[in-house]
Amino acid sequence: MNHSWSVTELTGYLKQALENDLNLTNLSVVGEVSNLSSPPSGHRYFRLKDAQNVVQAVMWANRPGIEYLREGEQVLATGKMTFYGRGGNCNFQSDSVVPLGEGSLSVEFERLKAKLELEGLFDLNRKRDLPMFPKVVGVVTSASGSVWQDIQNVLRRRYPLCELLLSHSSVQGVDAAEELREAIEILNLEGRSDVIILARGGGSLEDLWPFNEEQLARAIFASKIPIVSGVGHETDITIADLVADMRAPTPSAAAELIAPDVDNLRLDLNTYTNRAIQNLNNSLSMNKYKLMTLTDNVNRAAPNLDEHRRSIDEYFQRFCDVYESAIRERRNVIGAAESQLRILDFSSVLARGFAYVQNASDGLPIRSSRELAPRDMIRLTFDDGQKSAEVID
Amino acid sequence: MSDSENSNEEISYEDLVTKLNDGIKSLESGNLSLDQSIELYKQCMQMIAKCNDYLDKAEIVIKDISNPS
Repeated sequence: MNHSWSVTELTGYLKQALENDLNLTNLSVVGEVSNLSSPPSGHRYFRLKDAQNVVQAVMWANRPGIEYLREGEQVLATGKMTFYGRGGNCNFQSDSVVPLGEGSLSVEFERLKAKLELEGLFDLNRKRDLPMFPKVVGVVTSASGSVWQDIQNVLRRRYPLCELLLSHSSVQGVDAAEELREAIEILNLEGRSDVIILARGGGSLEDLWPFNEEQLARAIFASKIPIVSGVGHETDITIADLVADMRAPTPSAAAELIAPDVDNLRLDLNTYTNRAIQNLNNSLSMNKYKLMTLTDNVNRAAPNLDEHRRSIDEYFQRFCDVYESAIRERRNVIGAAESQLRILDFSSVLARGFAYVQNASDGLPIRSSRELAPRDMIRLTFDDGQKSAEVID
Repeated sequence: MSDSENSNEEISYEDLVTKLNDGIKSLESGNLSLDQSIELYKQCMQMIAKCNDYLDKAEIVIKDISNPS
């Protein structure tokens, strides 16, 4: 390396490198406390060691678990790595300490947690969805505790549509884990619950311990009905919480989480009503518009009656003209015939003294004297009558 | 049929809301005739009335099925 560092540069670099490493900013270390120094300030300076190695450590006064720092004590310390430039050393700065003596609950918790996690009991992909509108809600808790009352109150107020089934169990003490397991099994055997609330109020680690026991964890895992846990306070996390399909921070929160609020349901119904009305109105408007368009189209396509009326008038006039002309023509013909008849009428000739001569035997008119011979019989027609005569010459 | 009448009466709130939601979506699709829209609108309003009725009359039922031992 060509570049020469000052010591301060180097320690500054180390400090930054160490304190920016995400793996070293929130970690837990198991080790034995040694070389413990307890100055009046209340801070503690010590070492954490195992069989081979050692790490320098510090814990500021009043941090949780500081009282467990005793020479030779096995502890689980949680904190971060820092670099102390003036001392030229790395320090584990512990923010909390839990004792890990033989049979300690914390050790057991960590052991069981690791075991069950390995088996897949906490897998997120096995967590089931909760029903949106549970009809039957099973509750596993103590019948005599305030938690049961709280759950009833929450659901009576928020979601009175459901039926609540209490499957009582004690929630602390040596038999509690067994009873909790049985209570879950009873609800599964009964079979009507859509969801189960597993609940207990706050308490010490020892009080909550049944919720960290393996048999309860396995009962939760085996339950055919999804389970929501609400154990202790928000900061208490139990094995039961990790296995449950959903964890609520408190029992009341669990009751709120498993069902909707009727007030919200009413708002939803109002929204549905508005949507239905809006859509019917849209449909009506659209159909009115279609009808108007159709009316326009029909009006445009309708025949022009005035034109037809005019045509009919014209036809009638033409018919009248033709008819009158035909009549006139026939009248003329008749007039001409009448005149002709008048010309041909011989009665006026007879009246002037002429006679009409016919052969008496065949009635044929005699137009020439040559047609007659003596003794032929003829018939003479006068204006006033007829006479027969014989031709003499 | 009396069976279908019974099943109508016993329809759960969830099923009712599901049917209602489907009905509103159909209304919103714009694919219905006016007659169908009016009929579906009536059905939706009946379902909404029934849902409100459910909420108004709902009374929580509480039972203890604990093991007596």
